[in-house]
Amino acid sequence: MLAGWHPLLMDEIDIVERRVPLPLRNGRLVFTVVGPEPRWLYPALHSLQRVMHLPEGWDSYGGKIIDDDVVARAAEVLVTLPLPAEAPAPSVVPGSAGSLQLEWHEAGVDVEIHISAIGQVSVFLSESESGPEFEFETLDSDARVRLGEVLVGLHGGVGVSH
Amino acid sequence: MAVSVQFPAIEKLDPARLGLSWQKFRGEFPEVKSQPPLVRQIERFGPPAPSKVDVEIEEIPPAPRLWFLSKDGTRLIQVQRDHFVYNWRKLDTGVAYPHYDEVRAQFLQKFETFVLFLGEEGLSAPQPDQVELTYVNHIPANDESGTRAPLERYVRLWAGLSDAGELPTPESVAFQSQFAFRRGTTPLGRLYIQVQSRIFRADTRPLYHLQLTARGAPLGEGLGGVLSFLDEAHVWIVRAFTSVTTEEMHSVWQRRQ
Repeated sequence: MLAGWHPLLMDEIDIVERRVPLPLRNGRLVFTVVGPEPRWLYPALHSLQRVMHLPEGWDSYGGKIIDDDVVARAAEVLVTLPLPAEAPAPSVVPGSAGSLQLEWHEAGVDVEIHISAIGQVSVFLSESESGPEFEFETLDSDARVRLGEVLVGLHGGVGVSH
Repeated sequence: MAVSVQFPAIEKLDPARLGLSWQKFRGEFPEVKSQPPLVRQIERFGPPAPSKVDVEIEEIPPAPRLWFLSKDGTRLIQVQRDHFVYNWRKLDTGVAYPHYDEVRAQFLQKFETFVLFLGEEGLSAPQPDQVELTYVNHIPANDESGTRAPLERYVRLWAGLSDAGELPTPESVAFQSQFAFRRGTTPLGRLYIQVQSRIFRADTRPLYHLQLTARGAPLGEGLGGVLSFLDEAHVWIVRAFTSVTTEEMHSVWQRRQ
């Protein structure tokens, strides 16, 4: 027995803060994680990284590249959502105008969070095929409340990465 | 041996000012090198918290870590926007391994010099949020036949494979264990013990790398809090070294002292 150690207390789980970098064209995003990584984190980062590397004209119709600012705004929105740790990662969908959309379509839940090329955020969500739909022009407190009600139902399943 | 202090990044401590800080140490540390920055780490305790993720944007390029080296390379100061580290390294110089008190005093003097420099540049003083003390031991591990001796000869944390049937001595071993250390029931920090098979660069003789690191928050305000944690960390590292190493290792260590 090692002197001074208390065996029972060794069973505590350490919570060491970890930093996960995601390079941008200029600078980088650094995600600070405390506790177990949410299931959606790494697939979402992978998707963000992929859309960042889309070249000019990526969709054969003059699709614009996705700016660092748009990616950063999407990341900021993602980590502040009330998204369960077990939720699937969103689909990360680029738009021709240099926009990004974070989408979940599963278990009757449809959520689309649109980040425009100038960083404005708007939200569309519905809870079932026949249920009410909500649209918010900004990610304000009302939008967050609705998102909280809807996203809590996302767990398990397989997310789709773009 | 290394003493490290981590603090929230000092806003205007850019690469130019980091380079300027070298002037304060250049007489004693005439060589400078650039390295990738150290990663911030915070030891936390308590019941598992729900996952928490934050994101921040960092400029490019990330501010470097600078090494200021003494002429013989045994002493090293490392500075970056959110870390200050003082190292003593055992190289093939014949210089005796210093005692903790000596390294502590040297660290204190260098860190105070660094803080004075920050003040002269109109920058805020560091507010340490983590302190770290590290001891590294390279245990020569060639047995009588010149091959690698089993780890259990030196380290009690490793039970070895005495009952492994036909398996030979492992070619390499690597593991890490960690312990929370406390004062009463109050957690003070975490002790990490790492063991890894390596070889001496000069002659490729086998060795075991034994590293003990104690990390935690300062035990009080300012420099006093930093030193209090260091002293506590030193006590736990000495206890750990004594507890996890064998009598044979203790004899080798005493002969080297």
